Amino acid sequence: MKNVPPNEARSNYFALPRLIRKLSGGDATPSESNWPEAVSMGSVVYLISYLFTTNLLLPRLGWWQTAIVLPLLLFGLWIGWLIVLYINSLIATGCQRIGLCADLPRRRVQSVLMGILTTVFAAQLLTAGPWLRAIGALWILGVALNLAAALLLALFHDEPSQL
Amino acid sequence: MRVITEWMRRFAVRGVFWRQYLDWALFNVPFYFLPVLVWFWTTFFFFFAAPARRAVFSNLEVILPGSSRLMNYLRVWFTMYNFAWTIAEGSHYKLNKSHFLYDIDGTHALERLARAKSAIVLTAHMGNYDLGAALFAEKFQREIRMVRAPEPDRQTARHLDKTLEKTGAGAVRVDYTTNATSISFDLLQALRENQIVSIQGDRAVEGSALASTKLFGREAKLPTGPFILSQIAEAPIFPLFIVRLGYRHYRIIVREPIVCERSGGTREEIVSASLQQWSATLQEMIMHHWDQWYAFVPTFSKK
Repeated sequence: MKNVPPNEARSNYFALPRLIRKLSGGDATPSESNWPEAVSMGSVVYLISYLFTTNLLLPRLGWWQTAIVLPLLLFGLWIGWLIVLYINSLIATGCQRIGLCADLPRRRVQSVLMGILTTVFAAQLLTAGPWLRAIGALWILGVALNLAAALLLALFHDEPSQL
Repeated sequence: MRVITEWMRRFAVRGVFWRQYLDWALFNVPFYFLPVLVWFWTTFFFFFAAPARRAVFSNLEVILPGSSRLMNYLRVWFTMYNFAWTIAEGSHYKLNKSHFLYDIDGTHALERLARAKSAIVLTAHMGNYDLGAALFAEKFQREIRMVRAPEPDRQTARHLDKTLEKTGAGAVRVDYTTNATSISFDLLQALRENQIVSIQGDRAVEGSALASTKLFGREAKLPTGPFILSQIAEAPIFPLFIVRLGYRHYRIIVREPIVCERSGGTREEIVSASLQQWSATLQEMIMHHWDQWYAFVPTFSKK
C-alpha cells in the first residue's frame, strides 16, 4: 500500500523547473518535497558563500595558514549562516509587522533574503579568477532565468511563484 | 545561582533549547537549506553528545561484529544524521501538517490492528515512532496511549508532550514510565476501554519489570510489562515500526500479533515465550535498520 499525497512527490519549489514541467505538460504546483532540489540548492548556496569567503581571505594568507583555515572555514561559515539566518528572521518579522509580505510564510521571505545575499556573493566572484567567475556567472544566470520563469508562471495565473 | 543553573540546563545536549531551535528553523529557514543545517548539526552533536555516541558505538559493535572502529564511528554519525532528520520531519509535520509519503509493510496485520477492540503496539526507539503514532491515529481515527521513558530534562519533556499531543490532534496521549505501578493500572484501564496502547519495548527503564533475553547472541534486558499487560487484558501485541526511507518518505512495518494467552503454561513461561518472539522480531528489525535504531543508552550486557 502506498500513500502519495497529490502534487507533492514529484513537484518542484523553484519557478524555473516548474515552468519546464508545465511546458512539458506536467504539474507546476510548488512543493517543498523534492530532495534532489533541496540538496543541490542548499549545497550551491553554501558553496558560493564558501568560495566568496575564501576568495576574500586567501590572498592574505600563507600556504600553511591556508591549509588550516580552509577546513575550519567550512564550519566557521556554518556559524556565520546561523547568525545571518537569525538576522534575516528579524528583518522578515519587521517587514511583516509593517505590512510588507504579510501573507508570505517567513521561510519564503528568508528565501528571498538568502537569494539576494548569495547573488551579492556571486557578483563578487565575477571579479575573481576564471573558475570562480564562471560559478558566479552561472548563479546569476540561474537567478535571472528563475525570475523570468516566475514572471511567466504568474502570467499563466499559476500559484504564487517561488523565488 | 539555581536560576542560572536551570537556565544553563536548557543548552545541555538533551535540553529544550535545541528542540525550540528546531521549531524556529522549520518556521524560518527555507526547506532547501535544511539539508546543510542538518549535516552540520549532526557533526556538532556527534562530537558534543559523547554519551550518546559511545552508546550507539557499543551497540553497533554487537550488531555488526568484526567492523573496524572507524567504520563504526561513521555508522554512528549516520545514525545521528538519521535521527536529526527524523526529529526535524516530525516537527515539520507538527508545525505545518506537511504531507508524507508512506508505504505499508504488513497491510494485513495493520488492518487487524485497526479493527482490534483493544491492542498493544510494541515498538522500538526506531525511525519516527512519534510520527507513526500520529499517522495511525489520524488514518484509523483511533486514540492512542503512548508510553515513553521519561526525558531527563523536565522542559524538554513538556515540549515533547505538547508536540506529540499537537501532532496527534488530541488522539495521542503520552504517559511516562516514572511510576511503573500506577501506569500499569492506567494502561490496563485504557485497554479495557478499547484503546490502543503503544509501548517502546527495546529499553530497560529503572523500576519497571525486566527479563533477560538473547539479542544478537548477547544478553539484553527488555521490559516484560507489555506481555503481562497483554495477558491480563487479553489484548494482542502488534510489533510496529516506522522507518525512514528518504526525504519525507517512511515505511510502516507491522508484524503479525504476539498473543499471550493465559492457557498453556505458567505466567512466567508465557511471558518468556512472548519475550523471545519479540526479541527475534526486534533483532530482525535492528539488523536491517541499525542506522535508525536510536538507542542512545547501552543496551547489551558486557561480555
